[in-house]
Amino acid sequence: MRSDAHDQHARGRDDAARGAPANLAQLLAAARTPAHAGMGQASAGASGADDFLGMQHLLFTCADVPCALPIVALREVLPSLPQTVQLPASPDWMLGVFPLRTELLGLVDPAPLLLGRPTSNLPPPTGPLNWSDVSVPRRTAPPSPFGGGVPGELPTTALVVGTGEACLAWAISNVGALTPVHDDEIETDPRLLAALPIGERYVAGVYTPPGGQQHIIVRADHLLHDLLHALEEDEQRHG
Amino acid sequence: MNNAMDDRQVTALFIDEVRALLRVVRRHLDTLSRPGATEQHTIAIHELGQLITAIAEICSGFHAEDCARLAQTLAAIYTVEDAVTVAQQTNSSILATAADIVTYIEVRLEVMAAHARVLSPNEAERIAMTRLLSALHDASVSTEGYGGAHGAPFGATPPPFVGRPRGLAAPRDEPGGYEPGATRPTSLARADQSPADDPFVGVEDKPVAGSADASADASHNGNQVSAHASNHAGAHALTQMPDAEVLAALGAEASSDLVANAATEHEAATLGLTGPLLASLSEDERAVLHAFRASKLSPTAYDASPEALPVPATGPLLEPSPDDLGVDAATHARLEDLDFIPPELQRIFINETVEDLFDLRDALVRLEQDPNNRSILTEIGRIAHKIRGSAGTMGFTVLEAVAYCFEDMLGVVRTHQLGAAGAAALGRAVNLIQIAHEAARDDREPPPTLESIARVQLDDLRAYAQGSVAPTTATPSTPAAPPRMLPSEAGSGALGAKDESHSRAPRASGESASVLRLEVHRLDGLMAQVNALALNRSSLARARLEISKLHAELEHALSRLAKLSDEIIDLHPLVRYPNAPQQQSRLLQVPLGLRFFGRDHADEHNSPHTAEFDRNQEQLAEFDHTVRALSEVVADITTAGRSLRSSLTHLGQVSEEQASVTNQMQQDVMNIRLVPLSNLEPRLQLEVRRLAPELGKRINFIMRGQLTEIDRNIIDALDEPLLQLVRNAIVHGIEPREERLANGKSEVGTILLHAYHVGGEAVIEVGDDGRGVNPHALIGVAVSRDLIDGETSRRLTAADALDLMFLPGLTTEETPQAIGGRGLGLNEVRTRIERVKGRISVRSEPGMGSIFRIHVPISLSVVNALHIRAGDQGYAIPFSSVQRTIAFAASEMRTVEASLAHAQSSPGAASEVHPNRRIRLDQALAHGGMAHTQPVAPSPASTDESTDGGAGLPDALSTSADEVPVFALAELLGYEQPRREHYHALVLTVGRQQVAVLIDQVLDPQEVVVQALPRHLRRRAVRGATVTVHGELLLLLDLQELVADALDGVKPRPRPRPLLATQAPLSSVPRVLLVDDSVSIRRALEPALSRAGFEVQTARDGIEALELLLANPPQAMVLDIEMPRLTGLELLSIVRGTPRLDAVRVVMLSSRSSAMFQEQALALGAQAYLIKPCPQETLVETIRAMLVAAVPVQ
Repeated sequence: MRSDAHDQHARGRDDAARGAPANLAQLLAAARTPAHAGMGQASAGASGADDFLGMQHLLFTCADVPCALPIVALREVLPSLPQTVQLPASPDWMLGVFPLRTELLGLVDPAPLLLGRPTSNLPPPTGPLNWSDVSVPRRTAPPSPFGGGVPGELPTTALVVGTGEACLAWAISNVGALTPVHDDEIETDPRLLAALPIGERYVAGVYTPPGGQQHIIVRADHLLHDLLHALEEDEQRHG
Repeated sequence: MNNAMDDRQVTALFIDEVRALLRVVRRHLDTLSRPGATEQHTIAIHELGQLITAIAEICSGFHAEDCARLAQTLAAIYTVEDAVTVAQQTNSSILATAADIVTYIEVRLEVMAAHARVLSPNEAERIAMTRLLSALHDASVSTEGYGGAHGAPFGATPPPFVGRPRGLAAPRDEPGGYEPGATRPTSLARADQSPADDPFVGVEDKPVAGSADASADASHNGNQVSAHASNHAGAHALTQMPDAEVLAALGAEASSDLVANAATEHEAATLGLTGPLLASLSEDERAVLHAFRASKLSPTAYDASPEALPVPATGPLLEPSPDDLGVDAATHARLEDLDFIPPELQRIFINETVEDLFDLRDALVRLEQDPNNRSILTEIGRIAHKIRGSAGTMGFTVLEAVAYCFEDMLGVVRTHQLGAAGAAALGRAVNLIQIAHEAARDDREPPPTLESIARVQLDDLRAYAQGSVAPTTATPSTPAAPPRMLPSEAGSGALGAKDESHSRAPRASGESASVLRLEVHRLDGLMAQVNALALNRSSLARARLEISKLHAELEHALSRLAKLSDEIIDLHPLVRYPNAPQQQSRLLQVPLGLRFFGRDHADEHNSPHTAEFDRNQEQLAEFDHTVRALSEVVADITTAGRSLRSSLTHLGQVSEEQASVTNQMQQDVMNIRLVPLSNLEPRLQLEVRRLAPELGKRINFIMRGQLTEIDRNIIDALDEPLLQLVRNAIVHGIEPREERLANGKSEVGTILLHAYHVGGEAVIEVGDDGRGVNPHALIGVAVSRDLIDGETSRRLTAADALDLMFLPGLTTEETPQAIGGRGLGLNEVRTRIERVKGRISVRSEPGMGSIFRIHVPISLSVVNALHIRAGDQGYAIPFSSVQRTIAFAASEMRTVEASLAHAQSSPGAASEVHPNRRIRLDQALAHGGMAHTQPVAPSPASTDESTDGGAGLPDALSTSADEVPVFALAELLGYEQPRREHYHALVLTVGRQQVAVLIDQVLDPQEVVVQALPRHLRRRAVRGATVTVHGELLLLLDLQELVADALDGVKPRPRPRPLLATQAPLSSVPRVLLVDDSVSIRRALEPALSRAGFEVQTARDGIEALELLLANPPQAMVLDIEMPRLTGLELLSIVRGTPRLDAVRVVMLSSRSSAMFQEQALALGAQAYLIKPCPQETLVETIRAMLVAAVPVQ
C-alpha cells in the first residue's frame, strides 16, 4: 500500500513536472479558448478540434486526494505559494493575504472543508460546515482508495478561483496535467459519490483517466461559496 | 428579448423607409426650386404629394406625431393638382420651409435611430415644429392670389390615415373637418383665418403640465436635433437653443399691457406661457400654439396612459436599450412608462440644486445688504426659475410648487420694491425650497403642509406689499400657529452678520465657472485604478531593486572571476615548469603570448625527452588557450556589466519619472474627491436662521476656513454631527438675551465654525460664547444616573468630566427642549465621527463658552502611516493615531498584580490581554523616546495654546509622571509577544486613556495608498492594506479600536498553529541570517533553510550582515569566512563584543578546512564549524541542535 501510494505520488510529481507549473498559467489561458470554442463547435455539430473530447480539466491533489477541476472554473494557477501576511481574527485555514497584481487575495487551505470531519463524527457534510466545529483540519486517516498522495503533504501551489471580489486562492499539494474530460467519462453514481471522502455538495462526479487513478471532480462554485461564506461568518462571529 | 429585438428591427425599418422617402422628397424639392419644364414640375409635385402623404401615414402609424403632423400639412399643399396651386407649390418660401420640414424629420429620425425607438419630441422640437407650421402658413398666405375657396392646409383636416393617432386629426364635427369619405380639401386656407376656425384648435383646450419652458426631454435633447438642423435661419436657431433660451428669445420683447388684459392672461394660462412671452408671439404663432395644445401632441396627451396608446400591429413600440439611457436593466422595464424619469437624472438634478440653493442663499445675503439691487433680484429669479423648471420636469411637484410661489414672491418684491423686508421674506421662502429639496434628496415625501405654507407666505407678502401686514414666518415645523414678526426682524443678523471676509466669494456677474458634474462612483472607479497604478509602481520599484541586486551580484562575481583569472595566469609558468623554478623569474618577465615561443627554442635543444616535451607543449598550448578565453570572457562580462549598469540607470530614470507622474496623478485624483467645507455652510446657516428666532435669540454664525477641503465621503459623514453641534450651541450654548445682558455680554451671541488643515488631518472647531458647561454638574448627573460611581467621579479631572457629555443619555438639561432634543445625541455625534476615523473633544469654561474640536482625516484612501513590525510581520499604523514612539529597557517596565491592573482599568477586561505591565512615560522618554506629535495650528478660539489639539486629551506627555498600561500588539492580534531586553512602543490615546503598545520595530513613516480588503477578508481594526515600495504587504491597523476592544474585554482570537510550514506565524519561526559572498551558495541554501522551517535573511558580506544583525537580531547565523569588506571572523568578533547579540548562535560555513581557522572561529564564539561542501541536511541539523541547546533568547 505504501509503495503504491508512493509510486502514485511520484507519478503526481511527474504530472506536475510535465504540467510545467511555471508556464501553467499561460497554458491554461491558451487551453480555455479551444475549450470554449470546442464546446461551441460541438453544439453546432462542427469538428474544428478533432482531438477535443470534452471539457478540459486540471488534475491536482488536495492533501492526499486526487481531484480535478474544470479549467473554466479556474482563473489562474500560481506556480508556488505566495508570501502572505496573516489576517488577524481569522480561522486557521485562512492562511493569509497576498497581493496579486492589483488585487488582494486570501490564501486558504480548502482541505478542512473539502476533506475534514466534524469532531462529532457526523456524516460527511452536505452543506456549509460550521467552521468552529471543525477540529480536524487535515486528513490523518490512511490514504483513501482514491488517493496516491502522501497524507500530510504540504501545499506547494495555489489555484486562483472566482471572479471579482469573490475570489480566493486555494493552497493545494500539487498540480497535474490538463486533461479533456467528456461527460460520458464522469461517473455520477450516487453510491459511488456517497463513498467519497468529500462531501457530496462539492462533488460533480468522478473521473478516471485510462489506466490512472480516480479523480474527484470538485464543484468549484459550491466550495468557493462556502469558503467565502465561512470567512464572512467568521468575521461576524468573532469580529 | 425576442420582442425587443423585433421591435428594434421594426423601428429600424421604419426609419430607413422614411429616410428613403425623404431623400426622394428632397430631390423633388430641388427640382421644383430650379426653373424647368412644367412637365417636370408637375411630375415632381405629383410624386411629392404621394411621397409626403406616405411619410405622414408611416410616421402616424409609428406615433411620430410631430413628423406626421408636419408631413400632413405639407402633403395638403402638394396633393392639390391644379394650375392655381402649382405656382404656390414652387414658391421659394414654401420650398424652403418644406426643406426645413424634411430636415426636421431627418434629424428626428436620427435621434430615434440613436435610441432605437420612436421618441416623442422634446419641448424645443415642439417649438421648432410650431415654428415650421407657422412658417409654412406664412409662406402660403404670402403667396398672393392663392387662397380663398380652396382653404389652407391649416384649415384642412389631414387625410384620414389608417392607424391615425388619437386626436391627431380634428374631430369630425369641427369646422373645417370632414366626414369620413368626404372629399379632401384641396385648397389653401385664408391667412386671416381665426384660431377658432382652425381645425387643430379647441379639442382639448386645457393647460398642459409640460409648459413651454420645461426642460429638455429626458431621453434626448434639442441640441441633438439642432446639430443637424438645416441652415434655415429660423428653424436652425430655434432648434439649437435650449428651451430656456428659446423662450427668452421669444419673450424678449414682452409687453406688459397684454398681461394686464384678463383675456390674454387666460390665454397665457391656457398655453402655459407667461404674459410677456405670449405677448411676443404673433397671432399666427399663437394660433399654431393653440393648435398644438389642442392636439394630442401636447406632452400630457402624448404621455398618457399606455392603454390610451394605440398599439401598432407589429407589437408595442420599441424601447431603447438600457445602455442608451444609462440605466440598469431593472430600470429598463419602467422606461416603457413614458412618465418614468430615470433616477440618475433625478440625482443629477438634486446634486445640481444643492449648488443652486447655495448660490440662491448667497444672492439673498447680498440682497439683504443691497435690497433694491435689481441685478441681484434678476439673478435670484434666474436661479429660482431654473429650480422650478427642473423640479417640474423631474417630477418633484411639491418642490416645483414651492419654487413657483418663491418666483411669485420675488415678483411681488420686485414690483413693490419691498427692500429688506422682501429679502427677509425670500429668505424664509427659500427655506421651504430647501426642505422640499431635502425631502427629494432623501427620497421621502415632503411635509404635507409645505405647499400651503408657501402659498400663505405669498399671500402674506402680497398683503404686506399692499397694506403693511407683516408676512408670516411660518415654517413646516410650526405650521399650526406661525408666529408673525416684521420682516426686518425675521432672521435679522443671521445673514447680515455673516462674516463676509471669510465667506465664499460670490461669482462675479457673468462669470461662469466651468464645472463638470461627475457621479461619485465614477470617481471612485478612477481612484481605484490610480491606486492600482500606484501599487504597480511598487512592483516596478521592487523589480528594479531586484535587478540592481543582481547587477551587484554580477559585478561581485565578475571581480571574483577576474581575480581567479589573474591567479590562473600567475600559476601558468608554475604549471608549465614545475621542475624549473629557476626559470620562473625569467619567464614571468615575458608576456604571456611570448612565453611559449621564447622558450620553445631553448628547450628544443636542451631536453633529452623531446616527445614528452611535445606532449606537454600541446597541453600547455591548450591551457594557454583556455586562459586567453577566460580573459576574453572576463572582458565580455565586464562590457555586459557596463551595459547593464547603463540600462539600469536608464530604467531608474524612467521608473522615477513614472513614479512622479503616478504620484501626481494620484494626488490630482484624490483632490477631485475633496470638497470644501463650505458645502455644509448653507445648511448650518439655515439652522441658525431658523432656530434662533424661534428661541428669541440673536446669533451670529461665523464660518472660517470654508475652503478647507475634505474627502467627500467624510464631509457627508460630518453633515449631521456638525448640524447637531450647531444646534446644541443655539439651544443650549447661547444664553437668552436677558441672561447675556445680565452677564455683561453682547446680546448677540456668536457661533464660530473654524476649519483648518493640520498634517494629514482636518480640524473643525465649533465654538460658542455662551454659558459653557459646568463639569461638576456633568459629574453629578453621571453619578445620579449610575453612569459612573462615586469613586471614579472623585478621580476625574475637569477634562474627564467634560468628556462625560459624550456618554449616551447624559444631559444637564432638566427639561429637554423639543428643538434641542431632535437629531443626534452627542454620543451618536462621536460615534459618527469615529466611523470616519476621526475624533472629537471638548473644552468648556462656565460662563465663557464651549469649543468642540473634531479631527478627521482629509482622505481615507491615502494615509500617512508609520511602518512598524510586530511579531515579525509588518503593519502600517495611521500616523495621526500615534502620539509618540518610545524605546525603553525591559527593566523599566513594571509588572503589577493582575487584580490591581484590572481595577485600574475598565471593568470586564479580559485578563489574557489586559496589561498588567506599566511604564512611566517620562522615564521612557528620557531613554530615547521620539515625539511623533504633529504640529498643531494655533486655534484662535482656544485659550490654551499648550494643548496638543484636543481639549479632552491629557496634558503633554513629557510632563506626565503617571504610569500607563502597556499592551503588546502581537498579543492584541492573537500572537505571542516574545520577551526582549529592549522594547519599542507606540503611545496613543484610547478614549481618555493613554496607553503604550509594544512593537518590535519602528520604520520610517510613509504615505501609503490604502486598498480596501475584499468583503470576506475585512476584519475589525483592519482598515485595509497597502503595498510598500519594497513589495511588502502591510495591513493598516486601527490601534485605537484594537486597544478599545481589549479594554472592553474582547479577547483576541488566538492564532493556532498554521497548516503550512511556510505559512507558520513568523513570531514562532527561528530566523537565520545567511552570510556568504557567493550568490550560488546563498541561492542554494536559502530555499533549503526555508523548507526546513526557518525564516531566512541573507547578506553578501560582513558589513551588510552587521546592519541586519543590529536592526533585528536573528536566532542563528550561518557565516562564511572569506568575504569582502568585513570577513566572517571579523564579524564574529564584533558580534561577540556586542551584548545584545549574545544570543545569536553562529555556525561557520567555510571552505577553509585547516584546524587553525576552526580553532580561531570557535575561540571567537562560534558554536559550530562546517566545511564546504556541506550537505544541506547537516547544516539544518546543526542549526536545529544549536537552537535547542541555546538558552532562550531574552
